[in-house]
Amino acid sequence: MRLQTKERFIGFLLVLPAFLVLIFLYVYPLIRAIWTSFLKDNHLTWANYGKVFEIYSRDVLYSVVMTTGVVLVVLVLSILLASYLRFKEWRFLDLMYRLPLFIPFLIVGHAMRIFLAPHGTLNNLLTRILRVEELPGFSRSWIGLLWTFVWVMTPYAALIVLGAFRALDSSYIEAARNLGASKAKVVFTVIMPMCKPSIMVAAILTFVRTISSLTIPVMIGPNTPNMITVDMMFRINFFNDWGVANALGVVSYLIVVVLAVYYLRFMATERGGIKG
Amino acid sequence: MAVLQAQGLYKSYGQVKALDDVNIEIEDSELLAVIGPSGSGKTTLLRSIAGFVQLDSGKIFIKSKDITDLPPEKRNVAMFFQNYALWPHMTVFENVAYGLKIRRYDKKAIREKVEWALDFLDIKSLAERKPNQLSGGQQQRVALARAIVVQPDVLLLDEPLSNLDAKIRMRIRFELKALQKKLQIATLYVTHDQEEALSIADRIAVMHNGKVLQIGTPQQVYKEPVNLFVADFIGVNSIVRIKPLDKDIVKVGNLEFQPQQGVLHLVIRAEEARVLPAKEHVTLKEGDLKLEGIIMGKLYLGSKHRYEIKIHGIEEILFINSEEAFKINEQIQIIIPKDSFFVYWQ
Amino acid sequence: MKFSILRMTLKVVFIIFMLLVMIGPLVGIVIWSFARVWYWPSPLPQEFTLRYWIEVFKQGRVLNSLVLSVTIALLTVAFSTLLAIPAAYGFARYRLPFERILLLLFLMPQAFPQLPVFINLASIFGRMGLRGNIWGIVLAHTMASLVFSLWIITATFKSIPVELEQVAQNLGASRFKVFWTITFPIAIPGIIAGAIYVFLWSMGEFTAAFFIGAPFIQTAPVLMYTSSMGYNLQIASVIAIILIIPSLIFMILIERFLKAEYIASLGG
Repeated sequence: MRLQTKERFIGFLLVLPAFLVLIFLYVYPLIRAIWTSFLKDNHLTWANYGKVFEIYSRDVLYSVVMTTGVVLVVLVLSILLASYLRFKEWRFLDLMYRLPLFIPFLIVGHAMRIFLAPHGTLNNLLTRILRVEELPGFSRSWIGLLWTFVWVMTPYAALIVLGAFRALDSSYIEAARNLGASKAKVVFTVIMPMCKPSIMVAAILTFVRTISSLTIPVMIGPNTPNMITVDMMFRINFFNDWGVANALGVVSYLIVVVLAVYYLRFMATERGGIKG
Repeated sequence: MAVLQAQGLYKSYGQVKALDDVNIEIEDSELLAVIGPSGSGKTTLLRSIAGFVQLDSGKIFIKSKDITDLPPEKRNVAMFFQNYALWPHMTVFENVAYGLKIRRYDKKAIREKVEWALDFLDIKSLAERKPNQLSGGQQQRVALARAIVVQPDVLLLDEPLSNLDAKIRMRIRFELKALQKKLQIATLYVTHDQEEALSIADRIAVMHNGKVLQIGTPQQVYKEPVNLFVADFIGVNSIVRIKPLDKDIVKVGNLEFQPQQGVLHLVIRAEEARVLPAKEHVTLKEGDLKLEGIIMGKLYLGSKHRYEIKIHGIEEILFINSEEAFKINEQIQIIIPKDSFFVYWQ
Repeated sequence: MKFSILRMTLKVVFIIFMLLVMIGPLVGIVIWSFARVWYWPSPLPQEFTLRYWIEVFKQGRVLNSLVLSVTIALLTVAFSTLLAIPAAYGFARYRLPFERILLLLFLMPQAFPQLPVFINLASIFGRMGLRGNIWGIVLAHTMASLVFSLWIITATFKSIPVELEQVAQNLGASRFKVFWTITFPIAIPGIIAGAIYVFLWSMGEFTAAFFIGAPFIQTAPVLMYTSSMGYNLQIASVIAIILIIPSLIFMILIERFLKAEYIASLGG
């Protein structure tokens, strides 16, 4: 018993430096964010949240709807990709879908601005092919924002989904095929239900990364309405208003927390209890 | 003089008792095999001697010195791991030299000792290779060389042959025994394979549910098992269970038993029983058991057949191997010598 | 036969579509990085120039920002890895008090929106004199990248069988000695992989660098952002390409390791 306590103590000492860094550089600023969100002119108040509700409720809704849309599109694409690559090797596709994996979001934002602008690379090509004078640009619109989010988020999601699909023992699939199920039927009735936890992880990861991204909406999103991250940035840069900025931050946190709780409960029922 | 003494070892994991009052001793240059089914506590015993398991109570002595509270690195016992655990980033030479380096031998001494050990195990030519370039048998030798080169007080072998295929295993058994005798290191040998233990050990300890049920020479354990579990675990057996009907006497074949509490279990060493046609006349020795029955089914096993036999009056099925050929439904008799069957009430 | 011709056509159309969608945006910035004059609706710039590429190698704000980014990334890698190695060993080999809560805490900086934390960190650093200072950015990057290092290195330690350590201990080596002679050497490839990932992440990170670096420090991504927003598309494109290249090299390098099966452990 004495030795076990000593073991735990050594383990704790090993983790301690990293733990302290997180406490000072993560937990403390986070608490401060929550605290500041209730401060206005040095008084505790709900005023900042009132302002969020008043000015930004449309943007909050826009963020949630946009993010949900991104998640849905990304999931459909990932499952299509993963199903195809599970049955068939195609190096071209395998390489193509992973291309955006390590490209920083900011650069993607810049590249898409050039690509999707009214006079951008895409329209340059399309006007020639379609023989028309002008085409509308997608940058600075919800389509461009959705397009860019899907472009960067799909590889991660597809990698997770494909990983789960490939890890699934072939005998499950062969058994279903042997009984006469088509490939599409196998995907829907065998593979997807068995890989539900991984698909869930892919969805959550996509949701969180999308709703917390600043660089992509700031580079390519419409001026208004836009994602709450952009509002936070403007609140600080143009108004030096930390109260409302932090209130917006807390709102974005709450959205993710709701999702996290839902996820944990899903996992708990999936596994019959929360396990490490 | 015992090299290793373990006294009253207890260890439990929650409700499960892994070690329950275990007492063993290993004499100088003796090989003690600990056998038992998985979960019997034999590996826990070995790991507690190596220091990787914290005991609830009990004492372990090596050469009369109490090592119970010493950390693993301070006990001079060398453990051989089931999966060999060779370090992939070191050559064979470096693997074997590791323990000597820790003990701060000088370079020359290290070289001499490592070469001796590699030579001893006949793997000198592999010294500069990395473990992933070796076959399973070669890896096993390197792991053994690494364990013996530090001249441990006790050698702990954890299922050393389980990762080898059946043919090599047979050959290595002989080599391992010869090697241990040449080195004269007190050795604790853990295995689940009773045949391996019988052939290699000086003494055998049979474990079940954390308890040592019997310790003795292979002959003692095979010929005089102390209880039903030991009798059944050792050898190839067939068991008949008989519930006494009347209170007087239980009749099994030609023998009669006084009824006791529980059910009568008859353990028959299937290799020792002889199957004969029912009509053939045999003279029984005092205490031999004769059963009569009918062949229900048979399997061809190459040099012999395995018969499924229904015993008259008992309605139980016995499985017995015989070289002779019988037909299905043929009436037969089974003769079992008196030291090849055991009766327990349980 | 007819069926297979249809199939071929479909396949070719799909390949062209994929190339356009995936490579197109990257081609756009490559062309822009060489453009001197480019008016709509010309398919290519009217005049090309190497001027903006030369700026990368000349003393000036582009080179400065790149040097700064590399410096910050290297310092971040050093801190992040040094903090993560002992912690990862703790997670991999010891039973820790409140282990699940600790793990959750380490995961949070990447699993929850970072912006609120970064802006408050900026204001805290502001009062400590760390705003507009590279150390402020290094600290923020270390905190946020800790989870990557920790995750990759913990997985590496866990993949090393405990028996390899126990044998060494059994042969007389202390815990510390075991770590240095057995665990650490075997784990080096994983530690390097983690370090490269953190380096790339730090090189491309914008949010923390923007808020904490302001107003004096301009890392490469921040300079890229201001250039792009100011319609200085050539400078922005040059920096973008320079920042992409190491990522692409890394992706090709780890092509062998980045099997989907490996990532699947994320889902478990």
